[in-house]
Amino acid sequence: MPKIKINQREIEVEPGTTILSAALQSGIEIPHFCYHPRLSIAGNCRMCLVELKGAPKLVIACNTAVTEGMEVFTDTPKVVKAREGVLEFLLINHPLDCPICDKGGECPLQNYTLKYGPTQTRYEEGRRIYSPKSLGPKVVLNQNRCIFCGRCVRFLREVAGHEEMGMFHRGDHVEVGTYFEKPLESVFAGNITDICPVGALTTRDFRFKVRVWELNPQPSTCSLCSCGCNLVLWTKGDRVYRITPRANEEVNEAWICDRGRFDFHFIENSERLKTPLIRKEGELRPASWEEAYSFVAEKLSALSKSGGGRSIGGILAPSYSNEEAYLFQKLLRETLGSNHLDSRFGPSSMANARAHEKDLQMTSLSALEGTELIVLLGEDLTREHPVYSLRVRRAVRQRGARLIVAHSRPTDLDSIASYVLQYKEGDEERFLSSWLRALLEVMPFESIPEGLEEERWSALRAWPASGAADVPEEDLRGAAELIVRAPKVVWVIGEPKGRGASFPLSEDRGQGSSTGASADSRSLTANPSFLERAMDLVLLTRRGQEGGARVLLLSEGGNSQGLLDMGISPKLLPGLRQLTPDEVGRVEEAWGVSLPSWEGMDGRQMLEAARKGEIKALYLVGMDPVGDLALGAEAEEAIKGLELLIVQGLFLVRTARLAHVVLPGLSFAEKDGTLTNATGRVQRQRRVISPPAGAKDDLEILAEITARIAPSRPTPSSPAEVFQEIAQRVSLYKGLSFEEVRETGACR
Amino acid sequence: MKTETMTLNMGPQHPSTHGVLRLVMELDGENIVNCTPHIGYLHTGIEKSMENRTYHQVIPLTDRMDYLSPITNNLAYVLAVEKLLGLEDVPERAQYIRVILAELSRIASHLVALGTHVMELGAVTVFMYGFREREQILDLFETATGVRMMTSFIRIGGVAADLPAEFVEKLQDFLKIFPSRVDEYETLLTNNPIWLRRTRGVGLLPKEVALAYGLSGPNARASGIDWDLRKKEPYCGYEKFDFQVPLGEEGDVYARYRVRMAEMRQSHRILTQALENLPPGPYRSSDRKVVFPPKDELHTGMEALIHHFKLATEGFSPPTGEVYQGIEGPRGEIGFYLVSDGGAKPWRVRVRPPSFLNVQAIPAILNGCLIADAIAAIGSLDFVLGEVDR
Amino acid sequence: MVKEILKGLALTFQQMWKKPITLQYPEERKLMPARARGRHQLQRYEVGMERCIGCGLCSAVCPSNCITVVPAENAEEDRHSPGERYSQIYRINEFRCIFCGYCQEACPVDAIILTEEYEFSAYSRDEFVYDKERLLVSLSRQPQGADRSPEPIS
Repeated sequence: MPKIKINQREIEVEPGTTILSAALQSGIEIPHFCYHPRLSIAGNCRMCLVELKGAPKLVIACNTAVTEGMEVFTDTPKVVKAREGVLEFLLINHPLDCPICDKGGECPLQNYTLKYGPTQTRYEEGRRIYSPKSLGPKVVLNQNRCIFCGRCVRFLREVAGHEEMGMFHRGDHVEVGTYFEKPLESVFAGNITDICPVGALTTRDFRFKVRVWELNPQPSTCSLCSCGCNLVLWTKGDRVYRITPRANEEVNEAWICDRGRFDFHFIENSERLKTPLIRKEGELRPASWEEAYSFVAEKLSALSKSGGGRSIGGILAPSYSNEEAYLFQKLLRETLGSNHLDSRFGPSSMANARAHEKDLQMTSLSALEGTELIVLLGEDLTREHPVYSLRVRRAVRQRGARLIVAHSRPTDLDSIASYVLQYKEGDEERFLSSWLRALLEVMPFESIPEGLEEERWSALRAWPASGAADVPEEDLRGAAELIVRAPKVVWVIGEPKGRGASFPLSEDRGQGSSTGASADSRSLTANPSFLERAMDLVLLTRRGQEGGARVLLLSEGGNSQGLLDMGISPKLLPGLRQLTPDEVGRVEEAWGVSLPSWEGMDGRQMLEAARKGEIKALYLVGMDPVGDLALGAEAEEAIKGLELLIVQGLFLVRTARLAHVVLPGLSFAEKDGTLTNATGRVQRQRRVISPPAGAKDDLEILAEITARIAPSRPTPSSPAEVFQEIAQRVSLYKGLSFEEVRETGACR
Repeated sequence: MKTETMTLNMGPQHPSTHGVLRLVMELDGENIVNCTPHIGYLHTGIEKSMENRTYHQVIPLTDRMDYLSPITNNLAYVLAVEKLLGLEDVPERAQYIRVILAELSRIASHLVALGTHVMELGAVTVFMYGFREREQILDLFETATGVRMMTSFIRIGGVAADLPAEFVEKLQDFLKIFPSRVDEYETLLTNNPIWLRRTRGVGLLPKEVALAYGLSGPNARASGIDWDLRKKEPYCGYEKFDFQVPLGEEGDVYARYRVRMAEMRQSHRILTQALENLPPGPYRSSDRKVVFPPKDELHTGMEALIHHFKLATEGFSPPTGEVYQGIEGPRGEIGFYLVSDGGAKPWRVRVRPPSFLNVQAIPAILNGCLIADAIAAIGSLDFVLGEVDR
Repeated sequence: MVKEILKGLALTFQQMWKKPITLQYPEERKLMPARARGRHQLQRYEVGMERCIGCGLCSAVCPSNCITVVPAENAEEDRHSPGERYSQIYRINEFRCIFCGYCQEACPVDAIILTEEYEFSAYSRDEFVYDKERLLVSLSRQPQGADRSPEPIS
């Protein structure tokens, strides 16, 4: 490894490192604008000039690789003067905008000018002025402020893969903007405002809202999808003003999608529920928490005594934390004796449990980087788990991985895929069977493949050899060959969606995801066996125990994996253990509790049972089935027959209007807890602002209800206490502690 | 016969404690056998607050420690920051303005010390006369800085603004009449037998004791310690002025009175010289990295605007290090010890307040003296509780 | 001894012939110097437009945190100040204010100045929180000339 000296300090770096990254690694500051560690090197700003011993001219540190014995100086008079010169030129055309610029206070141009720049202008001519240009609704462009470093252009091209911006003209006439002045469409567009070193690109959402130095940046985790991006919530008082990414190499690197960035204003919505409501004389009336608690507790205990656990069901939206999920299942299973537990209205699947059991689950995104082949099955990654698509794109574009996309609609990643297998919507079953046949043709098995149960093997063989699902035979075969040949394969499997998985910016997250409405409808029409059959394909092609296959199972909802881990499933106990009488017995013994051992109903079945009068009480947390397009009428009818409907959430959604009791809960910024992302990384969600008066922490609500129904048993009520119990009882979370899950999360 | 001592609380609400000082005195009849000062009633957390302000924002806080001579506090703090920054480019005119304001506040402070001290001993006239002149000085401050007391006028790298023309005129008027006014005070006091009886041989502070307590300023000089930072470690160009350091010998209340009277005359000398030789030129440093750029440049120069913006919002970041800078305040050596961690806010500010050391000396001068003399002795030490407690 | 006391009394006696220096406030008022740092005032341009652009430098530099500025974007039909940005809320808590004048120094557009007004009294504490309406120089009155550049203290 080459040894170099920067300012007489000796450092050793990897061969091929540039001077700038060597300096950054060892904490020496070299000012730079166009260089960004996660983008390609452009070398156009000339800010990082340094002096090399023996070199006649100054060189740019960002694009000069170190060589053995190199001596670099960053503060000689020559360098100081050059930097001043570069800054002076940049400031010639920079408008006198600091007082009205949102970047002011966190602006690299300001900081470097203060630190390295000249103090007085010598320029008397007019400034270069551009006519305004629009970049669409998300990002505001002010070209006058631009220093043409090109970071935005490079980010969209290299990282996001959405080549929407470019530089036009040359020299002093250079301009930056979108092609044909179209609005920016990339779901990652917000990131360009973070990396812009001046105030040329700012978000419209944060425009003229508040000064950055008045804000208090606090770490948290995104709960919109199961990527689990690390966030910084910028708060002032009890309001979140903006959200930016927080670097975490294991999750989102330094990027987030625009949904995570902009969809948080529901927190301050004035229609948030602020008091419990109880139905009296046919109308929902405001009530005190005491009334609400005793109402719920009395009704639930009466029902569980008269009708048993089978008459009570509970559904919790997958944006809720592990702690809430754990207490919810504890309330339902241990206290009320019911296994009717789910997080959606679709069919439940054992795929996650199987992936875990067979040790197939991908636990680190770095597996994507080292793989030869990535198969995206039923998953439009860029729309549904945007940040993971960045990894896939890089694996394909920079690491030479091949990509197979199998989806019912065109997806964003089709353009870089080796095979695009586009089947007809609703035709998943036929597609999978025809692909299976193609696989079996390429890789005939004489005996049962290792790792595949006998029953599954026979089920596979019995798949109907129906039509080819409109996918060309040679593509199926080619894709199958790729899978068979590749030593390492990563499967990214999502559930087929019933309707278009739209990704609108303006959609209110509070109404949408927090209540889980849109998530449910998509799962509703999902083919019941899709995930399981996909898992069969994976196991079939795994080739041996140590085989290179890894699976990333993606479901909707920020904590879908965590909810399964906590046993929010009619077929699973906490810890992804299958709910069988034997297993229940073991758990009962270990925990010292009694649990129902019968298999529960999934969300859809619960509605059906409610309609028939078999289920008398439903406890919905963050769910709005009546407000859902596909499910609405059916759900409304089912709910009418209920004796008790408890709805907990942020807003008086349509389901809540029909409820017997409504409990106002909190948003993600108002409560503490942990979330588990799709790779099993446990991360902290933090309370950064205080909640509206009257609403209560969901965990507290669940704990209080549990304690009132079963006062003899102790119920943990703080997130840390609940997590401690999880860590004791759930093998997956053994050894973790609430405190350990600090900045960048911990692997479970 | 068995006798007992009596404990008497003086303060914290007592007019002659110059603020909220509480003295617990143990009396044996009329004699004080023991005296314990209790401080902290005026604790404002100023030092701690300074750690949460930028270097620039600290200046108004310093005003509020010794509110009888805020300029001196400003100046001591600012000189400390300039030392920390290694800022040597402070224009001569700024230094002269600083000297003028510092000497004016020395006179104003001494006038308060004199007036209140004498009033406590029953003579109201001198108090009225003294405050008449002090009012003139506060008027001068108001003309130059905009306010009478909390001036916040001395700035890092210079002063906040140039002296307005009317200030110079007003100062000249003041300088013309002031010596005769000092004569007036002396007429009423210096040879007044009542004054002499109340002050001579009272509150004795021998030289060694004064040294042991770390006293400085007029209190130390009245005990014969020849120590004046303006001479010993000159700052702001004091070495260019011709003046004497008045000394006493006896170390009693009267000697302290005499030293202060003489000091006012010496300050007058300095002021006269300063006004005569007031050089033209800029009133603040040209180092734009720490000093706000001129406002008219904000509309033309990006460099100026950025520097203005950053200095206003974040301030500058001096290099890591620590400095101490003391100056000769009216009450003695007022010093600031600053520790910088390289950030925009001081990591630690510690003030060496002369008043604190003066208060420490109270037991030394009171033990054994008569309770009736206590007021005379305390008043002569001249402390400000705002500075003691900070 | 008698001589000394008589000397002192003579001096006191002389004062009786001098003009008193007492100012009969409130009948008589002191003339405030141009630099006086009293109540704040927000300035306008000659055309009536507000000078303040809501940059928040005053609130950033304020050592006592007494200024609240909430900016907003100017709409073409509802224009408050030249340029894109104006202050939607501008509030000063005059109780917290220490009248150091830093806000005036920091203001890049000379929007805020400290006036000569020093007489503060009100019937409730709330009245000392001045909102933009009370801080802005009124359009009709235009005291001290709206376009007057504030006394340069920095």
